[in-house]
Amino acid sequence: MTDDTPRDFLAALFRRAVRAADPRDTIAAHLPDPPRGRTVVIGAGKAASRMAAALESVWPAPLDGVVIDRYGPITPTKKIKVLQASHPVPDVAGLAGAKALLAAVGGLTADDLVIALISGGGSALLPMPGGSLTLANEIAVNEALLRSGAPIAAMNVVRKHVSGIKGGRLAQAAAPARVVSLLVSDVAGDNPALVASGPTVPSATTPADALAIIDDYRMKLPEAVIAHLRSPAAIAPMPDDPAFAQNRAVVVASARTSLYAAADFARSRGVTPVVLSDAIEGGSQSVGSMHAAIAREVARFDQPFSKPVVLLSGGETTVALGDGPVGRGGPNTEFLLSVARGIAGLSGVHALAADTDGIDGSEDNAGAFADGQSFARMRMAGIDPQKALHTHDAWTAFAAIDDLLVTGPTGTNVNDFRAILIR
Amino acid sequence: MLAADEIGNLDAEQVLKRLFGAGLEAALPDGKFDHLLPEKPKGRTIVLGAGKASARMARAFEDAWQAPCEGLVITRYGHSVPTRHVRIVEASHPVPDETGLSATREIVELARGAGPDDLVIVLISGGASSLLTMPAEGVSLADKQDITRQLLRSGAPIGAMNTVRKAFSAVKGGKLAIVAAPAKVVTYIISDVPGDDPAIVGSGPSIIARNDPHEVRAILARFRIKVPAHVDRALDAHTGGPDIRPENIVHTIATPRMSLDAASREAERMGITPIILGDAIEGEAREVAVAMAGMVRSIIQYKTPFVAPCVLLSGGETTVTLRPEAAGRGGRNTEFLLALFLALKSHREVAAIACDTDGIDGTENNAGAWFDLASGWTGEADAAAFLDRNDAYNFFKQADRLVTTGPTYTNVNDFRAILVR
Repeated sequence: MTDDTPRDFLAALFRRAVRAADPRDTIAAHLPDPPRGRTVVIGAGKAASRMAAALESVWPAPLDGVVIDRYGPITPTKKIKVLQASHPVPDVAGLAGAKALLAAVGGLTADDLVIALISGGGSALLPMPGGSLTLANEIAVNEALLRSGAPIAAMNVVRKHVSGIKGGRLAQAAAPARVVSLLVSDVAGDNPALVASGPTVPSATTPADALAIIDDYRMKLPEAVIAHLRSPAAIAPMPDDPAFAQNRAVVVASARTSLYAAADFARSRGVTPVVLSDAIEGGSQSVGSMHAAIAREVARFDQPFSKPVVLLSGGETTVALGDGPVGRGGPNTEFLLSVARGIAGLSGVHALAADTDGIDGSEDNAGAFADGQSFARMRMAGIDPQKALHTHDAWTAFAAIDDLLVTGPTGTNVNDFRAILIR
Repeated sequence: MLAADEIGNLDAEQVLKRLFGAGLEAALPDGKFDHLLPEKPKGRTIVLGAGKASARMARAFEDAWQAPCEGLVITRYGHSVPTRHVRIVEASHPVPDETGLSATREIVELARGAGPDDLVIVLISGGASSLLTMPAEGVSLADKQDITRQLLRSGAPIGAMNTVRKAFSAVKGGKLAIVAAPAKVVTYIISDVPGDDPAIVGSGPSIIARNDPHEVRAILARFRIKVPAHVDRALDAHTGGPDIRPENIVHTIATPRMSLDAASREAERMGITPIILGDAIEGEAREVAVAMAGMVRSIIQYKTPFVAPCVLLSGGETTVTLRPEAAGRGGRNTEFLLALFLALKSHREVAAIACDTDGIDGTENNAGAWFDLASGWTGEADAAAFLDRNDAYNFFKQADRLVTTGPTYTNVNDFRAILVR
């Protein structure tokens, strides 16, 4: 083990993970050949402007286009226009942006190439109500999804079928031009059709699948939405549609690449890295207590892994808000408060959980730090951490002991990053 | 070590049931006393105790002791087994009733009656906290119940709650051992708590705890627990206490960890790498399943953090929050297993078992269930609907995949094994 403090070490792991997901360093290796005709760049997501800047700096031919990023700091571009819209709740700017993307790919020929830069967050940034639905309907769907606790893959099936742009429809609009999608994945399993609900990558789901998910998670949705899902307008193009025959989708960064970069760094500091999984989903608190149980096992019995070890995992946990009072905090911060409960009183156990996009939920922090003293220190600061778990107020609890991790938006997004160091 | 394809030919049902069998065997008190017996006393051997496993512990002790003994243990309704010398009283759990209260008074009197030549055997298992209950002098049962209610609402951590409970109890926190002095006390424990601290199992009636009224008052103040003046005075009355520290021997004869270790050795014998994830995994059953499924997928897809053939073993106690339309049957282990089944359905490499070591998962007649995804069995078409209405019992019953042991009269909580080939 090194002389770094545990926090410095964990923060360095997180920086490595974020750097490995930075499209600036990863996009060049995945580019297609320039076309005979035009190159049109479109895209959406939390990494959109950074992907656009990276692409235009290495693309060997003329290009133009438009991408949508969220509000806040963005990476400046020279040729590709960057629009900004609201995330996670869509707004009219997103709607205008979605129309701009559809317009940008209209009237292309088979000689032209569309490069789609897709990253997590693109779902919310690209509202485009399908059929006769309104933007208010689509926002209502999104809010119901965020409250439901459903995993992101299930949410995106619903989003796809209420949308007029997702589920391959944007690529369909670009035909006969060839579409190459470059993706920064934030979904478990890295299926390109699920990143940002796949505006340029079709999947085989049907409106019936969306209705089943709505039923499974007991979402309350406007009647117009249900009626839409029962109408032909909700059917999206299928992957075997000839319009997609020449298209290609490549994942340029994912949770897995980030976790392995962090693992390499840990190894270089004499700490054994253990990647538990790049795709752990489930309720934030339950996933937190499971991680804590494994950490306790290592701390007490030096098994199933020998100390010093750092447990790494990725994926996306969810917070089902329920009907009770709701405080502040995203899934990573809530996960970490649950870990803090599970390791309370232990020495030599330190944890970090953060969203690689730099923003956990809708707060200003990326995540937080915790250790065996966190719970006791929260109580000293007048916070009841147990109650904070019940009221989903993890942000307040960690803010009270000044243990939030604040990075600002990172320009990329490969989802949650969790690291638990046991010395 | 067998290659993955050879393990694939092993009957997964047999592998899983051997693992659970080994875990269960380790959880039973039978045969566990043989090498842990004290010398026979000049006087009487008095057996006292409480908990869900106390009757079966009393019988196992009698079998091992091979000499006269007497005494009384309290167990939960329906948890009796026949004994020869030790009397069994069944009482209410988790809310104490009059039978439990009067049996506790009797146990305290038996302990008080023990002389210097006598040996007191104390048998403690999970559930003893509410089965063995008696307010301290100067405190009424109503006072105690009121404090407990306030504590539960306050969000106080379990450690603080127990410190307060012990302060207002006439038996907890070693007070039973103090009453039994000068007799020698030997305690045997079956643990169902994380960490297996003997002072925590059943609130440690024979494990003498520090009793500091300042600490208790600090906790009451911090969590804004209001107590009447006479209750507050009672705190000081008990501080001094008898200055007796009897020679107290404690043997932990079964714990969740011992069961997992036994299953682990059994897995090694079959050429499967055992991995103990933890003996105290808690959380919503279906969420824990989804989280573990993430690790299993990683093992299958990327050979990390473990390489097949391996088995993930874990213990602890998950919970089930009933869904609004809950209409089904099944306990937390069966529910865990159905959620795991749904999450891993497409992976033929996986087989799993989840059971309660007490033999009763929730309120059903099964201990748990198992499945093997290599068998080609994919379950009912609407497996998700079964989970949706908390009906895991019927899902596995239709498939003839319930595990039925009958009540085991012991309890080291949940036992889970996920086999990846």
